Amino acid sequence: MIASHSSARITGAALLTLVLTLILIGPLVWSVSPTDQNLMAVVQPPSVSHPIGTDQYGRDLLARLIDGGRVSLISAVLIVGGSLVIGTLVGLAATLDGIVARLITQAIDMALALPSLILALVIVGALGIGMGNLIFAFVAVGWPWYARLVRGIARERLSAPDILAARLAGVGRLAVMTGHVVPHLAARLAAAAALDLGYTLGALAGFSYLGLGAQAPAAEWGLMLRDAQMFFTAAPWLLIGPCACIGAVVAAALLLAEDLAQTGGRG
Amino acid sequence: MTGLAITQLHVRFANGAHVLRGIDLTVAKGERLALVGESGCGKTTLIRALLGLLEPGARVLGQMLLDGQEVPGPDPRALRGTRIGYVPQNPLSALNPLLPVGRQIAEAWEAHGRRIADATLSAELAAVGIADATRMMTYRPARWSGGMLQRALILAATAHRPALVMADEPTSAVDRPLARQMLELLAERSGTLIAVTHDLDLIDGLVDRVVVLYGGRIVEDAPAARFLVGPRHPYARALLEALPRPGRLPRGLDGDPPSPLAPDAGCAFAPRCPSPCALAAELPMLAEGVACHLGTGR
Amino acid sequence: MALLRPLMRMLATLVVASFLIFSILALLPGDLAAFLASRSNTKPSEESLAAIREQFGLNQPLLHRYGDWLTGALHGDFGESWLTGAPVADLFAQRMGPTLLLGVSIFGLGSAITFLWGGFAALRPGRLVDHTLTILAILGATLPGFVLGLLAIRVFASGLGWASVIGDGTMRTVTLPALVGAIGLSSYWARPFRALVVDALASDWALAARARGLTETRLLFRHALPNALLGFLPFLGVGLAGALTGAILIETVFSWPGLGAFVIDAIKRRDLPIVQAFAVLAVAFYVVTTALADLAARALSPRMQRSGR
Ligand SMILES: Nc1ncnc2c1ncn2[C@@H]1O[C@H](COP(=O)(O)OP(=O)(O)OP(=O)(O)O)[C@@H](O)[C@H]1O
Ligand code: SF4
Ligand SMILES: [Mg+2]
Repeated sequence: MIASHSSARITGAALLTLVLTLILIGPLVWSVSPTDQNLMAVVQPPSVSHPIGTDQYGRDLLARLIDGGRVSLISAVLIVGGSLVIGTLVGLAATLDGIVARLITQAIDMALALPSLILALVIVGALGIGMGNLIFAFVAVGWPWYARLVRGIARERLSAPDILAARLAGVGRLAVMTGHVVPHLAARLAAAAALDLGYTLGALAGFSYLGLGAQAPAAEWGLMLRDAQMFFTAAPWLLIGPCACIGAVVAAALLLAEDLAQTGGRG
Repeated sequence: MTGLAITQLHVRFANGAHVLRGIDLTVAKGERLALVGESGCGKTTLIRALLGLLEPGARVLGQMLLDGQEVPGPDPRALRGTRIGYVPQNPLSALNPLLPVGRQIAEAWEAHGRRIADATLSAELAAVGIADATRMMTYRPARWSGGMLQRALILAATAHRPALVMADEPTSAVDRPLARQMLELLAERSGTLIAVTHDLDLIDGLVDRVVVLYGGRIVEDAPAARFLVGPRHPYARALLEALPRPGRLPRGLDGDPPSPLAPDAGCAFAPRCPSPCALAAELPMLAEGVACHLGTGR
Repeated sequence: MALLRPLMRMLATLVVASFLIFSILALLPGDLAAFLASRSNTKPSEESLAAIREQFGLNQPLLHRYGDWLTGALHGDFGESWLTGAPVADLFAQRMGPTLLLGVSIFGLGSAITFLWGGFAALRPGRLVDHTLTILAILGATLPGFVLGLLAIRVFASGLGWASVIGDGTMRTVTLPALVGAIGLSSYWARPFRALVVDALASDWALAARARGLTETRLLFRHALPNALLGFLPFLGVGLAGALTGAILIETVFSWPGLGAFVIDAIKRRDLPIVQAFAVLAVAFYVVTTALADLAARALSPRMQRSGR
């Protein structure tokens, strides 16, 4: 779209690498505690000892950014992975014959007709606040999207001539699924998951910002923004780290997904 | 100098496709010409070049004169519909699906600052063979049949009796008896006519000349009567042999047409020519109405 | 007749969704007992819990309770807040105004930006405006609304010194939050809208219209835009879903005294009747608008007219 596919891929991969490096390599290089308070050095602007400053408890923002990234990323991967696995199984089940499969199909369509984040709010409301509950809620509303995708691809594949031939030759349903359908899912699912990862990170940050996700004193990007709320007019650097990181991962996901969608994951 | 005169027309698209590669064509006033050639040879491109409606980024070289005046010229919009009429290929997709047909046909007048009363429009539609025109014109295209739409579109293209009417496959979307009627209606309502068509068996008696396009060049340009019995270029012969005729199975043409992206390499038809000549590596020029080194065939 | 099916479908979705929400809140571990336990230091005795369950009708079978609740809801009675005992309907009525104002502003402004932005980009495909659109749309989709909101407050309130950017729920302060929401919405909408206009302008009928001598302006306004808008209807609904959740965040960012922030508060306090009423209303709003957009698209589509007789 913007330019060539490859430039979208390179930019996306670069952004993702940057953030991943920060999260994975960061703790090795920057061994400051993310939760140690220092009331003598609250809301400090960037300096050598605190490269992106400190917050209102004097906690080092870089350490919190690194730690928060880990929390966000692990949660998002769990959510996307869970939704993907459940969605794939349900989507494949929907291609079987019989009344159960039809009910599943109906359920998928019904679920997709509802605003998923509102339902996630309801589940969090019922379970109570906390990162674990939030992850559960996101998976609970996230799988239908994958189920529809998988069902569509599988249906298309199942009516392809080579599969019909295989089935006529006596290859069983399960063997056809694993041998001929599932391999075709990989590239499309990867694109969907990349995109979903970006949106999930954004939504997680949003829920944490609302106070419905990670809880203090944990560091999480959305939560850091929530903590910054009271002070950032005077101390804008409180916003920079989390905003840049959220922006980078979401942009990376968008770019990678666009590239994967266009090249089918091959080029 | 009346009529249409095209000299050395080249069209190259933004992606480098060199689609028209030096077209020389004169059509006398009142002459009717059939433009034939397989898909991708550049027929539509030629028509759109004359209308000034090529996609942005397309480069046009050469000269096009209509009655001595340059076309599309500095104000192409003013010429469209008045001096040059255009009948689109597929009538079913040639009108905005959301607007009544009558209001769109009326645009042929309105676009050039003239009002047309409903009664007049209805009479005009009736004149091209549309029954119940007053009611039909208030319906959107989906309620019309393909043949009816084509008639309405022919009316729109010829509303101002333009000096040149170009029809891009006016027969491809209607069935055969209707196709002949469409060609007759077109011939009746236009002076100079260029009609793209694949229905070579339908043009007998309706057109004066046949021009065959291959790979962006004219390979044969012949009077219709002679062409239909004795085409000279091997490609034209193949085209005629591909027609279904009683008592003979049509013979298809093997191989693919040349890519518009490929540079010139001698006779463009050589790879598919049934008996390529020794000179095939050189580009044959159009001489005496045929662009083949063997000239008159054999 | 053809419209009956989607209507039935919409009703079915509404019933299933409201029952789903009701069951989630009733069955997952978070009922009134848990609520009370969380509010008092001493664990409430089993007897008092039983008495309270009795009072709120919580020991009835689920289907029975849902039936009661639905009957009430259809009469505008959404139960009472566990926390204050005030009728949920009244609490919502007080906060509906600011939320509606913000929602309508976001929708109006978002549509306006979409049509101008997407329209201009469509007229110059592959040119600077067009590329800018793509990049800005990705950026807009990249920065979640609340992040954009925080940055906007920083720039306009503290940076430029505009006094009243923090919401008071009236027209006076609606501009900035509405703009932030609208940017998010239009960065989602502009690209599909642009594609629809581009498709319309590249269609067979657009070529034929130009060949009749139509000006580009007339082609755009009379032919291309109506077609693009018709194709755009399905995107309205999907955009609304995002706007709905986005609005909750934006209300929080701008301390907007609307429903969104109030409901988030209710979730934290586990005041479930409020959560339930909000969720059902939000889902109903979403389902009804998407269904209406779908119906409108069907009714206006040319094919419908043909079979309509
Ligand atoms: N905008 C464009 N950019 C690049 N190539 C183009 C463009 N438009 C047409 N072409 C190419 O130019 C060649 C000629 O196209 P054109 O539409 O003139 O063919 P045609 O003779 O009308 O064929 P058909 O019988 O299929 O209508 C084709 O190879 C086509 O792919
Ligand atoms: S020039 Fe030669 S190769 Fe080309 S068409 Fe004529 S005979 Fe065939
Ligand atoms: Mg063509």
